[in-house]
Amino acid sequence: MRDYIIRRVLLLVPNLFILATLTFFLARVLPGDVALGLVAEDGSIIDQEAVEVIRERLGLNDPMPVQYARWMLQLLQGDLGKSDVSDISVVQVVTETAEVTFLLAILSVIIGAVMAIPFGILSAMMRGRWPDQVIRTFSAVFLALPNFWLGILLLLALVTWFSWSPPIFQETFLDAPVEQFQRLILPSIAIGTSFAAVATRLTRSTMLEVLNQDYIRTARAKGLFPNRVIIRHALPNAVLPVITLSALLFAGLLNGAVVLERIFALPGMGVEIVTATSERDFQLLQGLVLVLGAFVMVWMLLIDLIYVALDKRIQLE
Amino acid sequence: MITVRDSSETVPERTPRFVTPAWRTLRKHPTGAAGLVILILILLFILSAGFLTPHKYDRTLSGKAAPMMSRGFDDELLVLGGDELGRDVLTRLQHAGRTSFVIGLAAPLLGVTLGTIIGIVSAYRGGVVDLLVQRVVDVLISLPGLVLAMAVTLALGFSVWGVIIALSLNVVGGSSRVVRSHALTQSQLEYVQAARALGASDLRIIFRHLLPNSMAVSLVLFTVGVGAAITAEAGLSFLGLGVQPPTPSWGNMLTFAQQYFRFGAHIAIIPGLTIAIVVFAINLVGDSLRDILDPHLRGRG
Repeated sequence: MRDYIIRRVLLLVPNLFILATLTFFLARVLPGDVALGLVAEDGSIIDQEAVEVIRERLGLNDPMPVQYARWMLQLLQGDLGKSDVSDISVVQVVTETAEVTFLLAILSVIIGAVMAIPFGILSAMMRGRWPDQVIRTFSAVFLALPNFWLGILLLLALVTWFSWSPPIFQETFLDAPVEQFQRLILPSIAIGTSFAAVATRLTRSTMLEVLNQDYIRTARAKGLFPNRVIIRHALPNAVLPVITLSALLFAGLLNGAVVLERIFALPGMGVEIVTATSERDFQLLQGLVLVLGAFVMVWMLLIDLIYVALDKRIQLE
Repeated sequence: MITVRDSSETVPERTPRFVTPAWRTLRKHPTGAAGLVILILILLFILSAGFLTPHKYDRTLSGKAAPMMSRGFDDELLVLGGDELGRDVLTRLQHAGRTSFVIGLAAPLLGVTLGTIIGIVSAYRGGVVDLLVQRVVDVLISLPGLVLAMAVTLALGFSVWGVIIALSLNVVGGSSRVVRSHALTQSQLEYVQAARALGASDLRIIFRHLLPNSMAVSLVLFTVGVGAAITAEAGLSFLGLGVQPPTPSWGNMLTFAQQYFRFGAHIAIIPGLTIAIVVFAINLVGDSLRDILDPHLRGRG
């Protein structure tokens, strides 16, 4: 057990190294560089000399191995660098944008799980009867709806019929919790319902499986109330896979909510990455992707370790 | 239902041998069959692009966001209305379907094929190869999928092929993980050991034994991937980073949906609804296919 944890944590080192290398080359395959864009901002005629000055200052004229070595050395010193465009440090950009992205992911997962668990249980309990059919149909339909399309429809329906649009503001969650919630609730519903569609099916199938287990039969045979059997005995075991799925989805959402961030004009990490890509802001792009990737890696490792710790049946090699 | 075990008695002599089992499978999985029918209808709809309507997909025929069943400047009938530039939505939907379908099929095909090979080789060789390959897979899985796709489309240009390669990369990591874990158990089984004892080469074991045995897993991964790729293409194109106009795709038809919603909701609703119907049908087929192919999952979900 201890050896396993040590081994997994040590494997993070080569993983992070590959991640840093890959992000570097991912940025370099982009055509063009930041210098042209920076000069074009000042005037319509591109001043070739000014372009060269910027390239020289940012080290874009150096050979690729030199640039790579510089990026790696910089990382080893714990420095994520500064944005090529605005001179703001990557760490600051992350702290400014992470809140929206994380809150959106958390809220979506909560909404999804809150819908999925009761519906999934109901569906399993009523197997084959009409509530089951209705729930399964709905989950199949919502599974097929692209969540960003659902987001557009929700936004436009509210704007058209209720003249309500989410607030736009700069404060953080702690300063303006209500506004932040209002701003995030629609995209969270859009993502949450797609997630609920998957999670309902999962809850239903694990619940059905659990209900067939011997210990449930024993509990029933002891004469426990049916509700108590479900809540005390079946539920904890049936919900475990859903929690795992939620944890995985949470990691996926940090990466995958870009389109919804864009539709709802949320200042999140995804939008920042898209902007950095289109401006060829290599330092910012590399920094943001590295931070997100590293977070996801650590998060997945934690899920694995928690599973190993909780489930005694998992045999370690 | 009474099933007769000996099929030779029930099958009329002239029917080809595969027809009866196929028909029986469809009868046993009505939802999958329904999905298949929907998919065939949509494919027919897409393939009739250029015949079904007399319009061109890139020609302005009416005012902005003309409503459904309205008439254009020259009195043409626009069944599903006009889009933000007054182009016929129905015709565009058909042409866009070609793009979206090609991407939806090719991206997971490429990605799952690559993932399958990587997964099997990684599991079979084990040791250092496995360790190194899995580290790269770790990184591929934890990288933001959209970033990867964005970088690749920008690097390769916004062609259909660029988008296909970009989206296939997102599939490689995950599918190779799944195939690897399946192949790991397979390579411990007696038949692989027997083949090795008989002196079969590594290549022969991989391609003749391990690959066919992981086909079921790969096929399920592929069907799941089709729906995901069509949705992902839509998202990418919606951001303006996928297939570029004037080539229509279901995703880029939605790009301006938000601005024009007040004038014509159909611009936003029709392409999105089409994507939803296609993905719905694919999911139905995929679920049935999984039941048929993967005995471990039979009867679940």
